[in-house]
Amino acid sequence: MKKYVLQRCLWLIVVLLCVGFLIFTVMYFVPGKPADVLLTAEATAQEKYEFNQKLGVNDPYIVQLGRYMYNTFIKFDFGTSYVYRVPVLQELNNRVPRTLTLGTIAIVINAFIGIPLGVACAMHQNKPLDHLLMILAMAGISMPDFWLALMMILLFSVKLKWLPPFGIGSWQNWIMPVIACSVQGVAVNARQTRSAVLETIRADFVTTARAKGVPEHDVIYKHMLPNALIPVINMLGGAFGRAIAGTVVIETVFSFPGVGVYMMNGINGRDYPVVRGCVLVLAAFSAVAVLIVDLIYGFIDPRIKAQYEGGGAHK
Amino acid sequence: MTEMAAGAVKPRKKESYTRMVMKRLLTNPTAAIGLVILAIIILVSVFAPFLTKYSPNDIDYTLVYAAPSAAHPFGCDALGRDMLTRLMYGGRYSLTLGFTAALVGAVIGVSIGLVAGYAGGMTDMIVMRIMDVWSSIPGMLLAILISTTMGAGFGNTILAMTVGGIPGGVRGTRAMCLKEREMEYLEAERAQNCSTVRILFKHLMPNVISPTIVGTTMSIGGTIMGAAGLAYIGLGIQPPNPEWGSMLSEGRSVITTHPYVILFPGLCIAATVLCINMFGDGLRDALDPRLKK
Repeated sequence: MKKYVLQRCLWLIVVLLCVGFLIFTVMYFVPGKPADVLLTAEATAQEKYEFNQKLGVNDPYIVQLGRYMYNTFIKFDFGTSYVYRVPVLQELNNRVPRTLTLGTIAIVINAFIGIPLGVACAMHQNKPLDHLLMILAMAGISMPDFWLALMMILLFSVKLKWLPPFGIGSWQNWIMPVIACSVQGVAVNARQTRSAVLETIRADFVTTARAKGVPEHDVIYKHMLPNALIPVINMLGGAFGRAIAGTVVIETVFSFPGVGVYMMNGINGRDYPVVRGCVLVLAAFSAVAVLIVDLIYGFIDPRIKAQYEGGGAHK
Repeated sequence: MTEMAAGAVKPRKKESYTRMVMKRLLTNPTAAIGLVILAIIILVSVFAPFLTKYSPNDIDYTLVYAAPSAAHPFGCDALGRDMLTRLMYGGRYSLTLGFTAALVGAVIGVSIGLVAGYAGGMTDMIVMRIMDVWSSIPGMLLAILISTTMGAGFGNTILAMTVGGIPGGVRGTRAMCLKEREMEYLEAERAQNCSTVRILFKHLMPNVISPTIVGTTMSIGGTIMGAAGLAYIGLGIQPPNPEWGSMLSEGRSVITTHPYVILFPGLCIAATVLCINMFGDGLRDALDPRLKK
């Protein structure tokens, strides 16, 4: 298993390098050079050329890529914002904790509310509780999260005046963004968990366990759930990524000063270093979440474990 | 199960299975309701020109933010355009986009996942490493990146939403294949010298697809919502096109004074996605060969 863990961790580094390469390459093809946006309309072609030259965006692709990879991964320098002239890393230092907190709270809520709800539904399949929760979950996954956010602002900020509609001054500012970020995740999780548990309920080993007289409590908690929750845990890694990416739109709605809003500013201002830095940071968190899930997966699924311990480590 | 045994002497397995799926699907009230309402939404958006006397881009400055009335049941927007008309036309964008992107993404994803999960070894490793990189950029983020590069617009939004959906299908299918791989029935197929393509798509796929169907169904809804989100932040389908997400984007500045401008487009998205999900749920129940009543 040590080998599996080491392999996965080394792969994380490779993944991050590839992500950096991908982001740079995709961003390279964005039409328009910074000078077109940042300089006034009166600027001559010569001035534009010199401006671009100073930023290094006139160099060949391979030179720019090399410089970007070297600066990002060796020097940990994400560049300086073209527009605000502030190092991207410095700005990210302030913003990343906010977005990460938002995403983490959302995923914790997903796991600790979504999974138990899903299990409860599966246990009470086709009973009123199941129907009620599934209708709610259905409503939850069908509502665009940013629209829910807008509706919450309308109700709680405009009509009732209970919560501030934007900003980040106090803990009350976090309530609506957290809800908007987690509702879909909880609903998706509850549904997937229910579906996974129901698949397992019909499995032969559950029938066997019952047939040999294992107490019902043990059948559920020792035989059924550990097997049913394997795919659910697999999905949590992706859910974290979705929550993190979802924060981009949610942050825009609430003017929440996180990575997402910073990135949108970067996109609108052709501020390449900002966009690259934001995407890389968000993708890195997502990759780490996937890695953690893969590690857990390797430990709890005996079939994968056996693959690595039975001499098949190089496969 | 009973309807299979009755009547026919020895029905061919394929026919009875298909019939069973159809029967289950149409007798499932949730799925049927979802399908009917979805059909209505599709018909309304297709035949919108015949159902309304306004055009979605008719500007009338005397009607700016007109409240809902008999002539304009859902009111008018910032340029005095009839909201109902715009909502009706809006379905065209969201539906085409959602179905195309989700289905293309699912077909590609499931195919890759089947091959990787079944082949195992080196193929699996290489494919999954590529997917690791691919999926470490969350779908929405990838869509934002692609839209930024390619520019906003209908075709680019479809592309942006498709690309992000592929790794999910691959991972889900592959994870199921890992569990299914060692099963005896596949051994039996191999012993009978079945072609790999046949094993993959005829024998393995039906057994690993049921979670992917739930996933794909949700991804149609998710794609519609993602595209609306893209339009909302200004990277998707652009105004003045009457896309629901871009209508939300146009209306957000007047949320305090004219809430209906953002209420109705959101309700349209939610209703469409809800129907698709209801139908998808029914489809899942109907397709699952292991389902016991």
